[in-house]
Amino acid sequence: MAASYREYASPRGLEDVVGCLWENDWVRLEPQRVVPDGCVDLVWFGSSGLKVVGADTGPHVVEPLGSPTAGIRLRPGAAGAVLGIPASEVRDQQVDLSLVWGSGTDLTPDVMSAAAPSRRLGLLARAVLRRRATPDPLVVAAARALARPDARVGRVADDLGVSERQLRRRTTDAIGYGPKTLARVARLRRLIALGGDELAVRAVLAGYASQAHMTEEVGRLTGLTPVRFLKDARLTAA
Amino acid sequence: MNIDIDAARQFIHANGRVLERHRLATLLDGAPTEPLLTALRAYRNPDGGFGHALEPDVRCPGSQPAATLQALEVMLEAGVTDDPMLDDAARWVAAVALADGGVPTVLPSADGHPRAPWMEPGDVSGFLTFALAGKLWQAGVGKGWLDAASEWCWRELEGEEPAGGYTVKFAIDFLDAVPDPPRAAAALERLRPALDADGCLDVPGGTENERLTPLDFSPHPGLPSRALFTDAQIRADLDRLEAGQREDGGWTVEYLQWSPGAALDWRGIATVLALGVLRANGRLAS
Repeated sequence: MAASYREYASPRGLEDVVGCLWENDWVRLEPQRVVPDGCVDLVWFGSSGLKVVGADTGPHVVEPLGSPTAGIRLRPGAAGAVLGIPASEVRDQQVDLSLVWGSGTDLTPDVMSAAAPSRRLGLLARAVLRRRATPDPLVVAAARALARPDARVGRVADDLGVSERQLRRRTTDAIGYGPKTLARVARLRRLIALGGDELAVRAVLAGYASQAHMTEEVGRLTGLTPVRFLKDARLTAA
Repeated sequence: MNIDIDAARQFIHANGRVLERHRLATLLDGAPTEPLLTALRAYRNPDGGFGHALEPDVRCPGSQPAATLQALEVMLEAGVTDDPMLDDAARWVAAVALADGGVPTVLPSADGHPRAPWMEPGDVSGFLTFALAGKLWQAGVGKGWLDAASEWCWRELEGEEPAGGYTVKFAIDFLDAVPDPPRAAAALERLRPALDADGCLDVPGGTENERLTPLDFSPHPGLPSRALFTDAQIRADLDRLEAGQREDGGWTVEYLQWSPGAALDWRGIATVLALGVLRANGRLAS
């Protein structure tokens, strides 16, 4: 079943804004749990149309869907520029892409429906290419700095030469939420990436203060205990 | 880490063209791009194309596909995506394109001017079509011609004839940039049998040592084409590239050195490219 989900690397010229393109042929029968990853996706949901899936701050459950899906994953920091609105406006939400891009785009649900499945990712990629967006460099630098295990928001803001308040505003516009949440999401991704079995060791290496701290934060972001969450967790490109 | 950056600078300052001096300054020191674009403009013709041996193997004043490709490469390498030269270059490419969407490798304006033996003017679409389409996709310009050119590229790639030599490299450039990931991934897989166990490809009819290597095909991490190579193949090729710095600080090329000026021009280009590739792959302290 895993083979039904495929990721493709970003085409040249989009590397700064696109983490990956993906498609999922599998018509799911079970609800699926989606956890925060700092990314905004543009997703073709078949009969439900073309949506912006905003950055999540907590887990949510996606109901089974009767058709294959395909999407383009925007890198942390790129969503605001690509969407043309503050990314916080779509946080924890799914919004019709036409409401965000208006009627000025040639990427419409009709165009996507008419296209052969093998062409849909190409249409999404072209639409993003035409936006000619550049991610906010401050936020990209902040996301990189906050991905280090010992990162502190105050220090990162200092190192970047901005106030914490300014960093929060820029991050919220570009990603959808502030640096504290971004740091928590980065910690969760590190925890998944680390592998290995010894949970207490993984917790420390990922940057949690303690195993209890990990349990609390993983619970808030995923709705599961670390043991249950890590059993099936898989790192997606971002 | 055994790259001598100072020696590389000395090499460029001793031997490089004005253009490579500015490319180096942009690459290593984050210098502003305006002097680089000014240097590039000196190779530009009023028709929007580039000539004047910007690509050292076709040394005519007139605009040529190879030179225009180099101009696009230089601009994109420096992160320039909004200069009007890009749109003009795209319009020039569209103007010289043939009815099938492709572009000849060498145009008749090269007649009577010095050039490499393999750079003969012709009137059929050639492999630079792949490379030019790739660069224009990457730059986000050239919408009208790109659709026709991409169709030409897909026809070539999805036909019966297997690609070889430089066609493989330019085809990969196209596939890395065309915004059509599943189709590109499938086409990349069809090119895999052309590569040997090291991920290299001997150039038929080239000089004795002339081979295309994984970093020629896929210079940067994260490109779709990296799927064709193992980490070990990339690492081995990075070691080779690191070791390729000569006593005089510069890198060199293996293809036929048919004119002293062209040979030196290529060494400057190869040196800038080597530093860029090593930097992008984490082998050069930023």
